[in-house]
Amino acid sequence: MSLYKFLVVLLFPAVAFSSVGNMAGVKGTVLLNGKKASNGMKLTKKSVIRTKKGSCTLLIGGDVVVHLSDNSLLKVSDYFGNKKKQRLGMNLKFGKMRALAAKRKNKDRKIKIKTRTATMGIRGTHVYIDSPRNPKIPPSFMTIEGVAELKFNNPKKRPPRRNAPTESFDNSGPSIQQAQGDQQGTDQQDSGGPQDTADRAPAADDGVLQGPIPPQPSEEGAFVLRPNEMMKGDDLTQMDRTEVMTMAHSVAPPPPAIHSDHVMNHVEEKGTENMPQFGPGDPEGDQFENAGGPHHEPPQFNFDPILDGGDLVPVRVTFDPY
Amino acid sequence: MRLPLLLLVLILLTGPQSSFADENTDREVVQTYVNYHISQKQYDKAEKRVRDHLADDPNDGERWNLLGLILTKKGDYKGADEAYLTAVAASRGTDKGIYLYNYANSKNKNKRIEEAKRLLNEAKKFDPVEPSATAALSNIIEGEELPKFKLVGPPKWDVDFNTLSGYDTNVQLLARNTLDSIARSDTASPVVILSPSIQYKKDYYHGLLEGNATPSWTYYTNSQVSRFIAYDAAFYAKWTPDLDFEKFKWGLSGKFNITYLSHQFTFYNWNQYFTFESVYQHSARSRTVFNVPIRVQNFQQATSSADERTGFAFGFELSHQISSGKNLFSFGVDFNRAITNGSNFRSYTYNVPLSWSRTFRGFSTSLGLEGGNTWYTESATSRRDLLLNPTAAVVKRFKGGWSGGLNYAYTRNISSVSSASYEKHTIYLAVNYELI
Repeated sequence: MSLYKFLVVLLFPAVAFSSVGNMAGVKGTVLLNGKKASNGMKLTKKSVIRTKKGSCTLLIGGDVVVHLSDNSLLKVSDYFGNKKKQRLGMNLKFGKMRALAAKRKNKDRKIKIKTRTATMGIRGTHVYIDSPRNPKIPPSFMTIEGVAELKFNNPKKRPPRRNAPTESFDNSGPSIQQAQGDQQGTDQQDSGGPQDTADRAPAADDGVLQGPIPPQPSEEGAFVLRPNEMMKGDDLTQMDRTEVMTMAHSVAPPPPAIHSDHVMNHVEEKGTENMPQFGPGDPEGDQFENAGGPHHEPPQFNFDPILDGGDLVPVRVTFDPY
Repeated sequence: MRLPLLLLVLILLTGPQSSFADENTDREVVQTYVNYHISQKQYDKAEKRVRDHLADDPNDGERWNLLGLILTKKGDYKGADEAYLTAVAASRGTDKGIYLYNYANSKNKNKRIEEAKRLLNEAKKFDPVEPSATAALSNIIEGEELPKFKLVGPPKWDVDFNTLSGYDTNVQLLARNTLDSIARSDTASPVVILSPSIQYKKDYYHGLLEGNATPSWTYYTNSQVSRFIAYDAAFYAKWTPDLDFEKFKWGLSGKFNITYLSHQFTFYNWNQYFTFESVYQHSARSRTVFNVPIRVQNFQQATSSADERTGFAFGFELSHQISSGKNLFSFGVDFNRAITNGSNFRSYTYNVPLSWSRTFRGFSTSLGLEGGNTWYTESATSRRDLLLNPTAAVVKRFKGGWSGGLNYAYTRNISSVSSASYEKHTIYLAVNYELI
């Protein structure tokens, strides 16, 4: 046996089982490699994370955050990282996730999330993926911020159809045209990945797409998803920003800010478990400004004057889902 | 000489800049990591993470403040002072006031009380920080931590105007009772309700005080015997103590409601509620609500002492709420014991309320179902009622403070006393305009 082979055999376990990150925000029933998971447990490049009635956050490689919703199965399939390069592969067998990858200058990064129909490539991006366990329901891929590449496992797949934007799209995210203009320069310089060759429909004055012109893949067969765009099956839809944020925060709310020492002491002692607001978080968007907020109490009225002592009946005329 | 300068200006104007979207992603990532490191008491790692981030995003005042807090925790007051100073310079408004307070805390811990006082006087200029800064100035002890910081929002007024228009298939002048003096209407009628609603919130005595007043005017338009107007006014106040980040939160509320009816007869009743309200938050997705209401009620009408409904009632309301994606499910049980002056209305009631709500393409939809039993254990007729009450609502909020909703409810009361059995449908369109 050559010295090289000997070293490979000797070092293989250290490489295979070296830590790539940590478990955090573990709530409810979550399994790591089949065993009950807890905060701080180390992730390796062969880790399997299964959430049942619970959820968790994976902190990987120092600048990637993956929030995993309940009833999901995720495998870390590949990892390599040093100061100049980072490669991360994950396989979302089923379930929902929200992933954020911080932008890193001067670092060659390849982060890929595989599902049963397509693989999403991200860098400096915030994305949402929903891959239902039922194989008849196609997975959904959505970009919240930044751009992502989507490559279908079946290369012969026909191009997606472009749907009309969702009705109340409020333009709080960049429009397709703006995104193209803003991103082209940075894409070319930072990502080195395939450019957006999608045949975008012309935008009206308000930046909303007009007409169902299907996007086309790049030479590498990848489609580019821009902010607020969702690909589900063959359908590409420009989503309403409010809905985008509601869906994203349904997987995990944003981390609570620490603005004072007593908040920091609380996080140190009890973690962030009780800090997020109950429910999927407040919707964003213009239509909620000057409106008292979604937790506005509904007014109550007396419909039947003597009905059992004149109990007031709440009337749902305000947005109060939670 | 001019060309390089021009080139420099062009590069600065057109060069690659990280977009706001990328900043948001990067800031959320670093905050998630830092929260984790702090929860693991890894302050060195937290510091390194924030410093790496600030090297790329030097205008992030919130993270400069975070670095200051981490360094204060580590006892590096000099480093903390520099971080707070940068945070203050990079921020404005309330954030600036918060960072000034933290800066003062660091100075005071480092036994530089005069500088701390000067910073607190600066922090006082920001209204939400003013109460904490004033309290700190009057209690400051050199070398010790300043009192717990709390943001105090300004008092807030909300004024709404509501209009409801709909149809009631069976306007209940009397329901679930056997009073003889007033016949049940059994009359279908279009109904119009007009109502302003005034709400007020204010930080008060280590907590939050909320109040609202909702007077309403209801016009039942049906002809002949049943055209009448009901006036109603509800006043509600609630106080909840500051229980930041605690799993168990509670509050005390009081509600007063008075109804006056003008018809061929006049009638009024009033109710007064005192309620202990509490919530136990298991996680961001599930919580249990437990309320203990006590009600005192007064009824003007009674034909006999046995039918006297004036009295009081008490009980509990227990429900569990689960948030899953855009859905919210709620189920629970209510129990109520009514002790009235007249024996015919002394009762035990339990209800099982279920509800589901969901946001869908900007609409808030909800379905509810409530079923329950009431036993009038001392009534002359041994009355027992079974109530079924499904409801549905869809609400849309529009720009400019407008919202509108369509509501439907079916009520079926099956009583062992036939005159107390009834059923009704109500459907109405509600429009709300938020004036303030």
